[in-house]
Amino acid sequence: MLNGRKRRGLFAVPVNVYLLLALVAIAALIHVTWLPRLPVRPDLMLALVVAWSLLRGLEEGLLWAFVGGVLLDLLSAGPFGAFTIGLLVAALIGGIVHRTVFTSGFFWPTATMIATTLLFHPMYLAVVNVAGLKVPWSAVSQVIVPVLVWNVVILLLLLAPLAWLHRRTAPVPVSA
Amino acid sequence: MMSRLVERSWLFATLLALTIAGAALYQTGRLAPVQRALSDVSSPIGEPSSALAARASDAIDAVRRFQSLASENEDLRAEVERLSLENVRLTELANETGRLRDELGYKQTNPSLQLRGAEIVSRGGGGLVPGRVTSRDPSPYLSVLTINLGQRDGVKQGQAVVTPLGLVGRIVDVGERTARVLLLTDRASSVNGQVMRTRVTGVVQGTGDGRLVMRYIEQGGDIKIGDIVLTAGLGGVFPRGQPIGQVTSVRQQDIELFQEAEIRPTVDFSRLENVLVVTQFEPTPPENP
Repeated sequence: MLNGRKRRGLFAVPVNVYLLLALVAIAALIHVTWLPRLPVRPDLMLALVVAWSLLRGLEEGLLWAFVGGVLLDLLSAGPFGAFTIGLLVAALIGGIVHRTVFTSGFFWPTATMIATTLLFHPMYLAVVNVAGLKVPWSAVSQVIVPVLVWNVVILLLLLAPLAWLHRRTAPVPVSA
Repeated sequence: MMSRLVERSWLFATLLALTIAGAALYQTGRLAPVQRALSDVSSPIGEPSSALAARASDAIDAVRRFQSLASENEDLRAEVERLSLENVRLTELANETGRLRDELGYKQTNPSLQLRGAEIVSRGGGGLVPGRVTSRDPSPYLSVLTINLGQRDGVKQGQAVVTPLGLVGRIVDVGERTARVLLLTDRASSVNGQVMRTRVTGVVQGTGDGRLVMRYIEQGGDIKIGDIVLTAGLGGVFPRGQPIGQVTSVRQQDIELFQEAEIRPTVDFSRLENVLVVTQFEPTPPENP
């Protein structure tokens, strides 16, 4: 389910660029309007990046992470780079799982989501603190446990529509 | 395969380098115009989306409760809020009258002293601009929201943001059509507070999880559960007399230099839709001890 066909070239994604921008912009908008109303705020962008990395691999995952991270950083009052760096690392992990694990089902997506969430929040706080905003590390423990559950749920909900999108937009491999 | 791995490592390294370069630009303040422009552009989209989210949120709430019970509850809540505010205003007026009476009495009992009376100037109300919340910060660690007012509406950095229920926060960044508000509940937020009943002062700080703590209350200062805390107006940033919250617990230890009190904000920050920006107010002079 997760193993998409490989593409060639670094930025050879002309059609997907529009898709990327639209989806990531919508996710960013939901991030700043809808999600803050929930008692627990899931990391929608993180789930999106992880899901796409698992489906399409490292290259596209990194691009989604970069665009999504830059958007969130620009919309946030926090320091620039806090979201982007965390998302890039998440895409890296997603890409590695995509490349090395050839299993279908929900175990690996769930495990990847848990691992990336556990890395993302401390990394975010590290950047925030390096930039001079003093947010105590204890804040992570207050946020991360409920967010972890929500992130897994959102990832599993996203996987099916994104897998459909992946099948529709995956480039046709060039035959020899 | 090796070359592809190297190629991908380069992509990661390039994007990381771009991010670090962006962070450096952010530190020098050169990204601020881009942030403001994005905020200005996203605000018209975010506003209806935010309103839709608010409506959806309300609809979910309504489903959870019985209709009649919900409306009755809302009416009662509105009435309680109105009466609480009325109570705050009346108590403030009573205190003010008491102080004036004391001053007058002091003047009459000290005829030998040359005294000049100071006029009490208006609090707030000088310039209030209504705004609407368009978005909130994507980070769960920062309590910041964006409103649809900016430079063109006369909004400036540092101005206080209030609702009829009390203090919301202050403006920390202003774009052409939008502004960012640092909420009272953010860890970086602090405001001088004053207990309405006893005029005991302290610094009210956010905890980051929706609560407020009043620190640096002098030992022996009279503060108890249920007290209303208002802005002290010291420093001239916030207008004096704006409700901040109600004391829910007091921590007093003889070995400490100060007391601490936990405060429940009068404003429900999670359901904030409309706010008022205080664009102009006459700072009130500090009270005579």
